[in-house]
Amino acid sequence: MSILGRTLWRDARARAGQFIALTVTVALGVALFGASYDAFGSLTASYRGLYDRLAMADLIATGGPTGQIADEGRRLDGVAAASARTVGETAMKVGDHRQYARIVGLPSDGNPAVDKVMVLSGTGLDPTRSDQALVEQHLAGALGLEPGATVDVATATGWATLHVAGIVASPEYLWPARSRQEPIVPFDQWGVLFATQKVVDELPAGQVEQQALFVHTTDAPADTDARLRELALGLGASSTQTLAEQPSEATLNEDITGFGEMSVAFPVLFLLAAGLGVSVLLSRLIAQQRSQIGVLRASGFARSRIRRHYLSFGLAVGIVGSVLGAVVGALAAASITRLYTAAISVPVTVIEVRPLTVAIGVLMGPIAGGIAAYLPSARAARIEPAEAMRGNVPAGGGRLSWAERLVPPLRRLPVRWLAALRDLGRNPRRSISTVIGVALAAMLVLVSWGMIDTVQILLGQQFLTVQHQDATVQLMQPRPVDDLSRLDVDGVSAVEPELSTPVTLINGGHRYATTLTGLRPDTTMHTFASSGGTALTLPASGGVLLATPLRPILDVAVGDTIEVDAGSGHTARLRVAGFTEEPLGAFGYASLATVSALTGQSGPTMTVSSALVRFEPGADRAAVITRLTGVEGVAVALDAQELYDLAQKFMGLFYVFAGVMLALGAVMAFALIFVTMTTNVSERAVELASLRTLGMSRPRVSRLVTAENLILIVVGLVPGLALGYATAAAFMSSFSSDLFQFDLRIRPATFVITAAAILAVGLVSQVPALRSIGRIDLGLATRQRAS
Amino acid sequence: MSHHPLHAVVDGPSPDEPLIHLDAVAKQYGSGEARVDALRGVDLSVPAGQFVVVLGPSGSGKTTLMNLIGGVESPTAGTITVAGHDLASADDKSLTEYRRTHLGFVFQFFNLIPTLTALENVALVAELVGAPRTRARDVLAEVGLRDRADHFPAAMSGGEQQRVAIARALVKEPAVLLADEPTGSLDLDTGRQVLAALHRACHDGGRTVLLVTHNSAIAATADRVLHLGSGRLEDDQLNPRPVPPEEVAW
Repeated sequence: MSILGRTLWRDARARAGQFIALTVTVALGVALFGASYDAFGSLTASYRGLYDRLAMADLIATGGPTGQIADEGRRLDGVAAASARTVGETAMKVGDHRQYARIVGLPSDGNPAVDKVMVLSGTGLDPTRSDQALVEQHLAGALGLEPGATVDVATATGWATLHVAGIVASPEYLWPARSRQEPIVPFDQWGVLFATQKVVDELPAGQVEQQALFVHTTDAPADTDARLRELALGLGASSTQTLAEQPSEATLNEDITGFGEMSVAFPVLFLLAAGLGVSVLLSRLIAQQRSQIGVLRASGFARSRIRRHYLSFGLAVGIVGSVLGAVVGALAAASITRLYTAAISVPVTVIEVRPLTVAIGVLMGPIAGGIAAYLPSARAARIEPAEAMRGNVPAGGGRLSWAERLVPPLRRLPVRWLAALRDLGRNPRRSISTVIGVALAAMLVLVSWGMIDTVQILLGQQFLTVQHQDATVQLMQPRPVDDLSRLDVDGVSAVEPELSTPVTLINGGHRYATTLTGLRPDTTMHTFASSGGTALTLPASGGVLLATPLRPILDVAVGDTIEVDAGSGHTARLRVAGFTEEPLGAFGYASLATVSALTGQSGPTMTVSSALVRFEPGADRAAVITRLTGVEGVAVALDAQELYDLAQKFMGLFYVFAGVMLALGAVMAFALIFVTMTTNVSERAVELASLRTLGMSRPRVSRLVTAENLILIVVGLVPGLALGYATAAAFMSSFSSDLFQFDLRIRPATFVITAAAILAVGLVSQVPALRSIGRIDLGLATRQRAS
Repeated sequence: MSHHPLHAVVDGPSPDEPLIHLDAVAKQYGSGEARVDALRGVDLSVPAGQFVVVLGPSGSGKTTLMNLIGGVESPTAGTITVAGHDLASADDKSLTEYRRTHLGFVFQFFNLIPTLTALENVALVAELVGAPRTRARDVLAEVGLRDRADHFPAAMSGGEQQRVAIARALVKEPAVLLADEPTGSLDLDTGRQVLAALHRACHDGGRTVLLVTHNSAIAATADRVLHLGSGRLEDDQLNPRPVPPEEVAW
């Protein structure tokens, strides 16, 4: 190693704390890149691998002559396979437990050409039997079902017993979402069974859908979906869903897209922070070594050699951090992928360590360090030998602070406060670096806590403000509305009929498959309100209320008329009476009479197959559910609170995420504030020693430095919180879809907590610098010139 | 060495006691082969109101002597009493209080805070001892800088900066003024102005001034001249006819 190279390492060793802090910041940025990018890649590969293996449908057409649609679609260019099936929803029971089940029809050999299943335990369906079922793994896990067990399902003629042949995984239900409108469902309230077509055919009428499914070839033309869609709709299908639109894929895709976004955002944040730190530290190092630079230049060292020397300091921080970060990132990516696929029961896990990711990661640090070090190094190279050898440069000119210029009376403040104010402008680069570091950390923390607030507030809105039922009751057979009074058991305060049907909403070329829910116009089970908070009323007839996301999807406005297709030739034209604001799903709402007419009911007595029930305050929920289930003709009674509780349980993951963000923000803020503060004290050692010599106590000097730091933190918090709010809004908006409407909601207390957390980190970060004030050699004041 | 708080603060020594008293003071830096004996058993007594110049070549222990009297460093051996305070065994808090109350420092490189104006540099110390800001303006006027009060150090000459530093030291009305090479980085005319300001502080203000320098010409203005060599007090002479600062040359 050259002599100059050796001095570089000695310089780094002399500033070990700062060097380590910056290296760790680079390592975190690179590790987070590697972890999130490779996890993103591995998870995508895991899903896609399973999709390919099990022939996940690229397009599903619902309604119409599905056999014909499948046959004609199979002949289209780009279509590898097609099949038709029937899917139905019904009640099921296992012992005393009752819930909903989706029964997906399979060919008798249990092996469809599209959307196959993977048997995880037990066997597939026995072609000679029609009383078997395969249980989707999430449902099996929730109910403890194993091969050999039995389940009862409600058919048109009563309960039918099915024997569990095997437990299976399905690419269609990797994330077991009931529909795009109901992406989160407790598995002990709804689950998926696979059975022969004969079983599905016995389900109650009106609860089944015909579907045609298609898988594309690997080299399918880009317009294959469009051609299939045109064919299906032309032959009478009511709706189509592409792969991206399918609920499981859409939910998982939103989730893993987050990894992709993080793989860009995190490195940018952390490398920016590290770069600022390198720039501050190197600038101070060069200022301290001006005379040495002068000697080197006078001795014949070229400017380029000086530049390279200091540039290599930034590169060293970057290389050490990058190598460390790349290794940690690759290991973390594998762990994240395994944990993630295990958490959602993906049966095939593909771990890919991409050399390109490692290579990019390893390059990130040196590039960031090099860019950060370039300007200080260039300044060092421009120093003239004679100028440098004069020794330290006397302090630059003082000037009033911006605050004093804007508010002249501030000049009457105690001088120590003025000193704190003006020191902010003394080294603008250092001050700006601190402000940016604080702002980035505040942003990181606020974005994560903003997500938590938003989800919590919106869940509260959905389950406490919009929905008012405590339970949903599914009947074995449709019953007259007046007959529902039987559900008014002990503990129930109100019962209302509900009539829901799957529909396709159509406005010209715009289509959307959803559920149309029929309620009484004067319902007390559901509150309708516009985004502005204005109460909306369910039209008694001829009208429909739509969830807000449907406005752009269908390109409709209030007063427009849309076509509502309930399948089997039942259609109606309904006027859009308003758009109701609901955080979850994108449903349509109409009066019972409207939905009843749409589903083809005629005659004087309206019948419904489900009811909404509200409990008396303080009622024993489990006991009421048991009583409701015991009422003759009731298939299932489901506690609405369970879904809320499940959603709240998911919040635990958000807390972990926010905690990690808080820790990362703290590390970043700590690293940058630590570096800038220790540099600040080191640069002002003689000045601070002078103040101590003049009789200023150590605590007072510490308070002076702390005051400056606090001002910088507060200054950084303002843009940080604003930036955090804007980023969180953009982030949540990117997650918003017809599945979830995430309008950012942040509690005022969250701003205060974020600010307090960053302030606390800032105060802790300066402790090493303040301790160094106590170690300042007071003799410096008499021996050295202040710089 | 165990450090403890200074004993009860007193206003100063009794009339027959010296203001500054050093008894067998030694100061060593480092240990083993790297040990340096900066001072080797110095005995010294300085009464109040005396202008003392300490001369000696580089490494003779001048600055160490000043730092010990200033409570910036502690002796390795011996006792130091200034204005009735035992400095040798005092703790950091007591030494800070001592420097704040009894001492004024003037440094070779001024060490003004660059972000504060001349007046504010002086007022910062005035605030420290609870003196009003008007007192800072008055002291600045005493050193001839009334018109430069609102200028920042970077806009002032070296002499002006040093006079601000003297004003900063005087604003708390210290009993002892310690000046380390106060003219070391100044030209002759400016140096004379600074010297004159220090003499006024001593003879008009009744303060004891201890000025450390390697410039023997300045010794002619002193009431007493000490010669340090190799850490020892080699010579201690009273000057019966001090020369006014305006008449010295170097």
